[in-house]
Amino acid sequence: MPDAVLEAIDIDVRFGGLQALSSAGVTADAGTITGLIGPNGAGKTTLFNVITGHQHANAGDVRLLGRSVAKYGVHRRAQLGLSRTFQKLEAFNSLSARDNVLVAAEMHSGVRAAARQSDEILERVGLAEVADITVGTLPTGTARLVELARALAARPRALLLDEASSGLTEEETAAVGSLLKQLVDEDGLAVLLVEHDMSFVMNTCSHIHVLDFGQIIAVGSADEIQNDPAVRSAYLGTGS
Amino acid sequence: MTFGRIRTSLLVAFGAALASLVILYWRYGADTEVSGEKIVIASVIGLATGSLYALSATGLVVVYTTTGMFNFAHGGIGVFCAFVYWEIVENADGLGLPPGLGLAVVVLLVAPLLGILIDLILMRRLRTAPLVVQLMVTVGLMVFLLTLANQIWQADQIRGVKPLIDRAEGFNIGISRVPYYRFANLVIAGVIAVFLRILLFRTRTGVAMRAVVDNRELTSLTGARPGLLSGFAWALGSSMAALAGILVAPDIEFNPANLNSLMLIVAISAAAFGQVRSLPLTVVGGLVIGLLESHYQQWISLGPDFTFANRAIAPIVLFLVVLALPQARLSVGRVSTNLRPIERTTRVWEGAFGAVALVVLAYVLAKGWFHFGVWDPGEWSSTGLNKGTSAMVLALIGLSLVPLTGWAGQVNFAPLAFAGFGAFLWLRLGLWFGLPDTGGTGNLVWLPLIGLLCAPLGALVAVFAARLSGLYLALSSLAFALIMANVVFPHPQVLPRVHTFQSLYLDVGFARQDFDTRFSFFMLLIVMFALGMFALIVLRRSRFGRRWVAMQDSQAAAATVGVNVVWTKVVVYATSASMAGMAGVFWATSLSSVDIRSFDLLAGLTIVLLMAAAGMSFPVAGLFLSFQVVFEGLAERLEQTENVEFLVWLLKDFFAKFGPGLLAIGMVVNQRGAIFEMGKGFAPILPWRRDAREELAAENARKRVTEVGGLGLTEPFTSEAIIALDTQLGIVDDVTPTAGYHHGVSRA
Repeated sequence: MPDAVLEAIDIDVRFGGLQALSSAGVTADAGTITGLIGPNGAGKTTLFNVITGHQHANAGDVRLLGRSVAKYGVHRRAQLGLSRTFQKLEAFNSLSARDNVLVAAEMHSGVRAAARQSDEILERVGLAEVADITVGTLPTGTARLVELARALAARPRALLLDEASSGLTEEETAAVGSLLKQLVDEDGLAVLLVEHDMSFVMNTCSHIHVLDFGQIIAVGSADEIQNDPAVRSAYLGTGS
Repeated sequence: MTFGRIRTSLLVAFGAALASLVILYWRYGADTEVSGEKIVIASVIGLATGSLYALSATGLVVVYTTTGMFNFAHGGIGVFCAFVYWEIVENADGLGLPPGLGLAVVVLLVAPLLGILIDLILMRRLRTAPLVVQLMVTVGLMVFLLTLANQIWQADQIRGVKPLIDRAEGFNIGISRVPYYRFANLVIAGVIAVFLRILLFRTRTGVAMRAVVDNRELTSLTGARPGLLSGFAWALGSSMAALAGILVAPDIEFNPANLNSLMLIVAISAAAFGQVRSLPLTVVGGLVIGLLESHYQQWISLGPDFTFANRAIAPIVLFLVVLALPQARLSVGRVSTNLRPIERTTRVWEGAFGAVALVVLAYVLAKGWFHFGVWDPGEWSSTGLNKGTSAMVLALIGLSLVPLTGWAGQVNFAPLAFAGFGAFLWLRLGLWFGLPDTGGTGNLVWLPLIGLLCAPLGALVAVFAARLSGLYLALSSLAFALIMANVVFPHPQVLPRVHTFQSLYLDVGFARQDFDTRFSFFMLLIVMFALGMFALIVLRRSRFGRRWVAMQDSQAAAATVGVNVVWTKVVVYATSASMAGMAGVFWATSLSSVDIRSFDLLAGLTIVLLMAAAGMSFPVAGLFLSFQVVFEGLAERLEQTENVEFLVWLLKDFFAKFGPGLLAIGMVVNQRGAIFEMGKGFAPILPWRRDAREELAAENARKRVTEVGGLGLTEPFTSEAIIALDTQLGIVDDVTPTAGYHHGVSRA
């Protein structure tokens, strides 16, 4: 697997007596969009948190560009090329949209370069008009785009999006979809996304992992997943 | 799982405290004879006092578990009620009620009423407020209650409270007598602890009280009434504070400040022992502190240099407990409220302009060149200049809180500890290293060195603070402030009791400027403040400023873009410490003697409170610290005028004294601070602030929108009303309704 940018291998997470993840694994390759789906409470966000270092794993390994990062803190992983957005909005609310992006860009670039990159990214994500607006006063959907712009400004090799489309209008969702496609095609980014909007997942993701009760129950293309009996029973119940 | 770990860490903390006691005894108490009798006596006294600490602390826990509000005013309530008790029972000119009746009146009537009032007027509005605001309001309330007690029961006479059972009655252990009242305290505290346990865990009310804090809305759906429950909790908490205050009073020097510092810090330490949640652990905490204190008094004598060290026991326990607690995770941020629609940071040229204007204005005012109409204040007298000087010293210390608390969101109650360290270095360094120019005769070229040397202390504090967040961070900084104030600074080797006032000068080799007159020293401070303010404005616009604010908004998100949160905290603490340290140099120089009172808890808290009330994210907030001085100065000038007695009273005895507390309490209404609101009114006047005018216009437009309901019925269709209607119906072609409405009329 020469192209695997991000690998999470055999992740175990226990919260007290609850096994949130057991031997869960996920791979994101360069130049592809990978979906991570599953019913509520399946452990999708927990898996994301383990990958980015927000959550301690009881067992397993996280590899970024072939290098184990499991022992690194959140910021170290970010500097190595791991970036994310959050399910519950975590924008820098009291800063403007531009400053949100600048904080990320300034981690690796000088003043002028960072400012130039920020403006480019804001333009690309479609936020140029609200660049000076305080993010805390923006609508949720727009603030989500600010989070995406901020994540991009950190120069990721792997980008994790936790429910990127929630709070977005249909047009905005479509725009995010085409932006993501552009990012993976042109920049060779590896995108891993958690999503509830199934049509969005099926249209944008080339690979899909299905998580249920902390275990990966299926991996495959959109078509394979849609016809997988285990997935159907996880989503619709077995009827027993 | 986690609970087991917490217990283990608390045991570790207790073990460490005990071990240090043993080591201290071995080193400093070797000539004290150990006997079984002494051990028993010290233990009995410790348990009895400790049970009162536990009583007070459980009141704090009850309020916290029910309302989610950590009440820094808990001790203040206890103090106030204890003095009411003194007034109606012990005061010769008072009602002279019998002690039992007086106790009942205070504990069952006065305290609950006070608690309910506090809940109704203040605390209910703060349920969703950011933690910093909640903290500042309760600290403000504490300062207010304390000021009130100080004003009513002034230090003009020695007061005392007798125990409920006569001191003489008791029994003997060996040759030492143990009075019964200590046992009575133990019994009362025990009964109440059991009562509380049953109330919270075995009754419907108690279960509802514990549920309210987890989910208020859900609890009210089950038929509970959150308002009633929180009122009940505050009443209960206040009663317990009052009872503890009255019962502990016979054993201490009975004055408000003393009682408060005891009640506040002991209750907090004991409550922290139980993580402000567990009642049994809180009781254990209270007893442990009581035992440590009494055994310390019995066995250890550190000599006159450490007179106040016993007061540091509770803060040290607090510090150890907080550090032993599990590490804070990178948790999700809070929702910031009341933001400006357009983010605007002060521009560099505006900062420069403001700094120059401040210096010019101060010069003109102090020289008396400025006339207020017919009133000519004249040149400032030496008293006026002295007052101005002390105000500017506070302003300089306050400035250090701007990056730390205002931007990075790290609550710090210990700005004076950093300033004191700077003062210590300034006064001592020259002696140690043989530098000819320091040691009180300062050449200001050494000032940056002091700043540099203070930075490591800040970094050290940050290493501890980085593990903590929110409440525990605030508590540990309080503990830090108290330990420094009671153990470190009173030591004569640290700050000399008296040093002769020696003036500062700046000698850079080819030029020399002396600041040996009051006027030049005052102007020096003004210039330093202007420089500091300007530097902060530049800093805020730099990557550091952005990163700090981002970290306050969301640490989790800051880390995901590569910000090393711990290192960033180290940098901001170091910055703040070096600013405060340099301010400490001027502080040390401005005081003719540095004594223990300069480090009083209230002095430090007043700085923090006034900064918060002004708006801690604005450097200019430092000027608000001159608030008391300005009011006192005005009152002094007016005193010569006739028929203004009321105004003088208002300025001098009301605003100047109660101001800090009241202003902080005022944050209930205005969470962003005074400068934010003043700026909103003032900025549109400035010719270059088109954005502020547009913001104002947009706000007015939003206000008009609410009046749409009357259109066509009570109001005519004007072009403005049509725009408002359009906005409400969403048929405006503007993308953002923030701009252009003012001009929109003509466009329509």
